[in-house]
Amino acid sequence: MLKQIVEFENNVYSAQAKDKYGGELTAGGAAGGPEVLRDSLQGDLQYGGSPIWKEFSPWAKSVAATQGLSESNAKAQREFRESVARGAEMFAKRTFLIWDAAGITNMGFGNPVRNACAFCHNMQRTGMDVAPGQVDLGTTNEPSANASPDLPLFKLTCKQNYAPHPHYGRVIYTQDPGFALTTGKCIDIGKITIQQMRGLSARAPYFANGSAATLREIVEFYDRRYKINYSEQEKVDLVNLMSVL
Amino acid sequence: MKNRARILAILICLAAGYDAVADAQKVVSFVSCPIYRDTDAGRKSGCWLADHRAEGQRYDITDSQIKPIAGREVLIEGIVAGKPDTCGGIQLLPVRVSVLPTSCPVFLLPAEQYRGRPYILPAKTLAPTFAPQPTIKPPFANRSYTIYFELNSDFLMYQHAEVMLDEAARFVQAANPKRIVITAYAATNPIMIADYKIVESIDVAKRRAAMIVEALTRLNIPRALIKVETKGTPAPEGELAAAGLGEASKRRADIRIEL
Repeated sequence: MLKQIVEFENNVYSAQAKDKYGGELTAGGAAGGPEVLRDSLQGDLQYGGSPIWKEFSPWAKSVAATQGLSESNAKAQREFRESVARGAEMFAKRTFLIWDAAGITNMGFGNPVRNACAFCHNMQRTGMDVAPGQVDLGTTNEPSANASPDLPLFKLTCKQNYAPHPHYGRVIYTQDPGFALTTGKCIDIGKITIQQMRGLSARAPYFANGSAATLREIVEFYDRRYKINYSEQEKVDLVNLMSVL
Repeated sequence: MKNRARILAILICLAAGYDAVADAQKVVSFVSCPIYRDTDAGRKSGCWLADHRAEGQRYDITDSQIKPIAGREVLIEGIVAGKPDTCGGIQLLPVRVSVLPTSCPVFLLPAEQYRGRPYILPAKTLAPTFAPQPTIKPPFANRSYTIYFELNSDFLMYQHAEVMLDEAARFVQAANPKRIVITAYAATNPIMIADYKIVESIDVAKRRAAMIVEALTRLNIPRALIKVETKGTPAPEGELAAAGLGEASKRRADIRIEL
């Protein structure tokens, strides 16, 4: 019976199938929706020649809109789809400097390291991390966590005979010790597990502590945390991408 | 004809603005504060530099598998590569960087006129899980693997250690050996680099051994097959020693698979 339950769970694929602006997510050559998850091989890592979210790159070329739409709605749909395609490309290729993110910047890649969103969200079609994927994005640790008066703030002190946190030293203020509650290690304070990204638009709020109420707030957090300086159009493109997964 | 070729090679080196012939085997070891230069030739393309204060030279340490942490001193051990300057320093290759516990100022430079170097995926990486895993076919013979570590570290270096551990585990599964001997070392004989004492305690060797045992058992190797030895400073050996980085080669663990 247990085997059957596990087998069932391993064969459930969920993803957004339709978007109120973009229409069917398999239209115009795109490969959104759950079927492609079911039909694809698992364990597929993205890389430069095969970037993550390439399933939406066909929308970069102003594909025909859904039949029956008014001219203005058809135009809006084409623009939305192009925006999604730009967001997908940016997610894989737009690099920025990643600083003080334990789980990334103390793992040999350097602190800082120049990379893109896909550095961590690196598995094709899901955006999971291929590695165990516990990272301190700064969502719960000071100084980058959003002020959250409704949450407790813990002061954690690392003892002298144990390794300090690689970026924050021995005294850390955090709203959530995260992975350190499992390991007991200073280095793991504030680390959270990188999640897969399918169905995002249906499951707000975001981050492990719910500190981003909207997809836009996710982008704003990263923009502020890593000083990326996204343009308004880039922010919109990323939000639109995340709204069709 | 041979002389003409040699003269041509020297002229090419001089034309490149760098005397590669003279410096080709120069080994450098020093402790310094790392400098990040924000070049952008794609992902992971930023340059890392460090000043050898006694020499008055700036070296390019970008090619180290372990990159520095800005604001922490680093031990650098490398060989002058004799390649064109793309980062603003003399390129070291191979080069090893060990992040030290001592703090120093954070240095960040803009790209300026330097373009950096695009990241190149190592020749050997793990096959994706969906792909058929490479099989190891008979005839089988005893095999050894060497895993290198940074100073005072038991960290299994990404795109180095896991590739060898994966291959070792697949070999064990295929060859059904009598035992696996892990000999982990620590460089317990101190050396001085400028005024910095470089030394490891034997406890580091124990931690290295434990890390490898943990990795192999997670790869389904029975713990009963594994024998562990820990030792102090060994003789230089392996790929790093052959390249001229004898001291760095002493911070290692050898995995010997006996049939």
